[in-house]
Amino acid sequence: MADYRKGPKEPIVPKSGLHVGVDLNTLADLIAEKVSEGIELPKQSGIIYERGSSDGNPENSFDDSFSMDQLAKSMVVQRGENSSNFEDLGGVKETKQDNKKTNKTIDLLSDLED
Amino acid sequence: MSDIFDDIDETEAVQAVQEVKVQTEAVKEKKKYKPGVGVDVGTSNIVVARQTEDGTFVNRFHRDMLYPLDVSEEAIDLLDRSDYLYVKVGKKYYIVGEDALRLVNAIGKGEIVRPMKDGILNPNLKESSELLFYIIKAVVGDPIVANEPLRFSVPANPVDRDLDNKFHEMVLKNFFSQMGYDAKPVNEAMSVVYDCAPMAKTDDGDMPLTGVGISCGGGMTNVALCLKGMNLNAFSITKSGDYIDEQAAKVTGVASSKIIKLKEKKLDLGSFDMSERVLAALRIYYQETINRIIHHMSEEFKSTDAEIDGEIEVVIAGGTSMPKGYCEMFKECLDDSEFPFDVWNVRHSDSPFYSVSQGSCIRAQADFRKKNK
Repeated sequence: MADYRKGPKEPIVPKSGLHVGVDLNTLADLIAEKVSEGIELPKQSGIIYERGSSDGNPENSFDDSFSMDQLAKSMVVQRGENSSNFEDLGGVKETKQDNKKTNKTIDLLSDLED
Repeated sequence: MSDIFDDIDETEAVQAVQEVKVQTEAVKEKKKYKPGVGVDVGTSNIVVARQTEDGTFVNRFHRDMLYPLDVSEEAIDLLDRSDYLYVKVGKKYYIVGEDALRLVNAIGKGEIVRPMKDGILNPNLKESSELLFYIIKAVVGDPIVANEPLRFSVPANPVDRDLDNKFHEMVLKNFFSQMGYDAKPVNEAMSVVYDCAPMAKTDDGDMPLTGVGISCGGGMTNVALCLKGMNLNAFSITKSGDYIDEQAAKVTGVASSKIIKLKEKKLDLGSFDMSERVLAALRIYYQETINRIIHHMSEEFKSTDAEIDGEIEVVIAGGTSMPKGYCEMFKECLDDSEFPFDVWNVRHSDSPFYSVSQGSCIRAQADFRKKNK
């Protein structure tokens, strides 16, 4: 193998179908073999899986809420190295409201499901 | 939410901030709040509402705009010598709020960035979630009871653009949960319903929380049809106040900032003066926007198949609904349309800029009551 510690002497030209002397087809077969050893593949059951709904429109039944949740959590994790120089912010505006009217609405809403 | 804050005079803003500081201190000392907090996370502003035991709503607001400064000796020196509030994210300082506007005008280069765009997290700003978190944390404050219920407003998915707010909703929920709240989303237009409490008139008497709630923001209009407080159908439209300003600016060749000033100071939708072309253009685009809202309302509500006996009420809030004569124009357009319900009244919110935060607060208080039943 070439010694790259002093930097390549010649520009590296990608060679299609060849990578460090291993044939890609052989590599793909090896991976497929190893994967199939570790994973139990479903046996044919006679069930026909249809793509799309009965009216011909594609239907996405995959539940992506888990990955969305993970992604949303990752947005908060980044905060570690960052900072701010304030603890509270904002102007204040007060408005008067009929307390009875508000309480009536709260009563009604507290009996409702989300 | 509203675009009223976009055009505040600088001196007025400084005075307002000083008054606010005094007021804020007073509020901290005296007010006793009921558990349950409402947050309106808008494109221009974040508004947080709490209600005191005597029924007063205390709304805290902050403009969610920032001015980025690269970390340098000059920047550090500037920040040391001033009382600018900032967030440091990665290799940048972000000056927050009104100071951002002052600084961009003083320096004369760079531009204001916003963590929100079209009602959701700005996908073009890499640090948007980070910046929004710091602003939200500082405006909302800590819970007053353990696991205090909090409702934050989210727009419904629009009918006129391919936009999904699910991710935005989950990010915000995580923010508030990290702060110790029991947070849930609430539809923006439904918050207007909870604050304004529309009433339907039926043969059996008045039916509470029944009708249509509309929140007219700068970037979006949110609409919800409800029956006894239940959301039957909600949607949003992306052409709203900003669209009106942009179109009026385009056809008249007048700068948007001037258009906004004229809109806030002189526009009366009840009179049609063709001699003033900016006002005439604004009136035409207001009418077009209202007709568009009513068109989509009719289409959406017809498809819902909901039946409400009697006549319903329409309640309207948000900065774009502020010009004189807005509700009257809305009623006229409604009467000329094929809207599927009879309407006995079109009413403007008593506090149009705070209806969403206050309605969200009412919903959060209901959550607290339910939890403690």
